[in-house]
Amino acid sequence: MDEQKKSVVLSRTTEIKPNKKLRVMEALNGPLRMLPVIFALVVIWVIFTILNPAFVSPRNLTTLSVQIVNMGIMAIGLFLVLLHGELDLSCAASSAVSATIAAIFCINKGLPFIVGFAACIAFGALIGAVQGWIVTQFGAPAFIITMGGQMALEGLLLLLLSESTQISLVNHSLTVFTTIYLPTWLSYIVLAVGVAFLFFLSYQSYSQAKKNNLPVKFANKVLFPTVGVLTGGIIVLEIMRKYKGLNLAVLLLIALLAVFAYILTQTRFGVHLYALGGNPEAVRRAGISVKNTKWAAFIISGAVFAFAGMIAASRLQSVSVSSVDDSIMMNSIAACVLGGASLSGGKGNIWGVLLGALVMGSLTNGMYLIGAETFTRLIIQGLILVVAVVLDAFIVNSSATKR
Amino acid sequence: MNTNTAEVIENVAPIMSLRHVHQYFGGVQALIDVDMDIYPGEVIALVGDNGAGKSTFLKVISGVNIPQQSEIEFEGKTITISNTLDPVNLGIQTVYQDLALCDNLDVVQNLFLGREIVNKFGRLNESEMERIARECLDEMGIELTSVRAKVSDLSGGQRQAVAIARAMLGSPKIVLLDEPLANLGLVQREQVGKLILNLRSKNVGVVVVSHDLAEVFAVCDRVVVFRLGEKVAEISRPEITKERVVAEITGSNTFMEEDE
Ligand SMILES: Nc1ncnc2c1ncn2[C@@H]1O[C@H](COP(=O)(O)OP(=O)(O)OP(=O)(O)O)[C@@H](O)[C@H]1O
Ligand SMILES: [Mg+2]
Repeated sequence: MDEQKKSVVLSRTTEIKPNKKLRVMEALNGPLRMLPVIFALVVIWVIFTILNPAFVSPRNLTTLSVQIVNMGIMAIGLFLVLLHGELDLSCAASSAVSATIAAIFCINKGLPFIVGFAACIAFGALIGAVQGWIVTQFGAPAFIITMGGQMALEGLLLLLLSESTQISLVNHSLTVFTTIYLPTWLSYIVLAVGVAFLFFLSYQSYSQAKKNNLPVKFANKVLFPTVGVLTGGIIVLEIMRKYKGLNLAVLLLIALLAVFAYILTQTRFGVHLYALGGNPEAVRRAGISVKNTKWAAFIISGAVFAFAGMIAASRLQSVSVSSVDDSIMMNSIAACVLGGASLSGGKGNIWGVLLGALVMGSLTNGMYLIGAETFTRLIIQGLILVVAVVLDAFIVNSSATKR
Repeated sequence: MNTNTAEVIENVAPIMSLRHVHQYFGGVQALIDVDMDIYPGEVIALVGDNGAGKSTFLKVISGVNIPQQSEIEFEGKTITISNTLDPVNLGIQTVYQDLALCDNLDVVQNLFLGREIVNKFGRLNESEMERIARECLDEMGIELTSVRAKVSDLSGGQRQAVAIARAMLGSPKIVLLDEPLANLGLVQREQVGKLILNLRSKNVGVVVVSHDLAEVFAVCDRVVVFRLGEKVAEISRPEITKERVVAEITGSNTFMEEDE
């Protein structure tokens, strides 16, 4: 994003011109980090389109976009946890239980939508708070604590649904998230507002850079990002428009991604999360509360998991004792890793998570479309994940700048 | 100049006084009843063998280690240091032996970790941080290809330089340097020496831990010797000689005295 800044040379350096291969590796390890996953996505899309042209039909692309929302949102929550070097295995159970709380409040108790929704998010945050408190207070490994949490929450789900094994949400307002499609005019207004925000923020960066005498170009800093997002947005909306339009859940996923992109790159909290993944002791010595920062991340991700659960319930139009979907969790972790996150923390960016979710989602959707068996899909998804991680390790190790 | 410093020390109150510092790690007594005064504009060389407790002592001052017993005064007020934020707020900056940098962050982010500059809406002001970082590094004569390079991409000496720059940023009252010369080349060593003298001229209290006696003697006003967790000697400028300090570090003069 800041090519300008990167190329500034403070003073003389004796540099041996790296060879071509090395330079490619370095670029892949640096500014072009996202290229492999974009490439993978393009390849997947091309193959599926050749096998079945319906893959790129507006109808299927709309379906695909709605399908990845649940996984994408869960992956956002997981990414927050991965970033500071932890893992949350309770996310699937946590989102199922949170959604069930909403269903009980709204359907069984007849409370209004907003109460059920708030209770759902609050419950998710509470789960995150409890698990995060245990992890940070006792220095316990999150992997194990959240595995315990997952079992306990699955038990809680059975308890909550012990009378009826499922609660139907059909025709209830809790399903708005996936049933509403935005009219074209409204989706364009939303796009305009989003682009205006982006323009405002990038212009602010630009004028700050000017004020501090840093070399910046208006085109690179403001114009290209804004125009790029505007163009991309128009393309997406025009495709969606050919079917039913933009689904509310998809809009919420993108909005959530944008909000977290801002938090992670533009706020102190975000930098501290990255720093924690790099060297927690350095963060502690810098006078930052490691416990509180990690705890906050657990609480926020808990709320995000609950939201993912709400979306899942809305799409399935019900919550049930079998709502805990471990494959969604695995796919979400895979999405994070494909998008550049590392299980040891401190790496990746949130848009990579979206790309990762698109890869996993496209595979599921496309395999189904071409009538492949589930086993084929699972094997291929597994292989792609392994190849992606191996490729990443290869790039990191081959780039000379790695210590 | 030497007499000047001596006078200054007599007339000026210490910035920080530590008394009866005891630190145990399980059965290991890392610090035993250590006292120290840190004066403005004075450079203390803290020396001793491996495991003497030098790093542990600096970490007590910077709040990384919480000693079992201690009495600390800062600018005349009795204080307690119970976390790593207290010393930062007091204006105490530390360069740790292990540098304590985040490899996955860039130079600017490392320099400002924990004291990032934000605008009134809480958004990071990257440009201002970058400008200040450049000015700071330029002033120190540190050469980097880019202030936006990841710290993992820097050489050992550059990393050291970034850690030192981190401590210089802002206007610290006390700077603690744990082995600042390790990893550094000849030119950079000289620069660190100049930096230390520069800090002294700005009335900053400096404590330098180093095994490189010659380098550290060139810039210090006082030598404090630790041996097995105890402060065994404190030698002021005119009396500093390599022989004497080495004798204190190894404890050979006590043997000589016992022999006599
Ligand atoms: N966190 C800790 N836990 C347990 N023991 C420790 C810890 N920190 C230091 N020690 C012990 O305290 C003693 C003093 O260590 P310290 O690191 O202060 O020595 P030092 O003088 O800095 O040595 P060096 O010159 O090798 O850096 C050593 O015996 C060390 O093993
Ligand atoms: Mg040490």
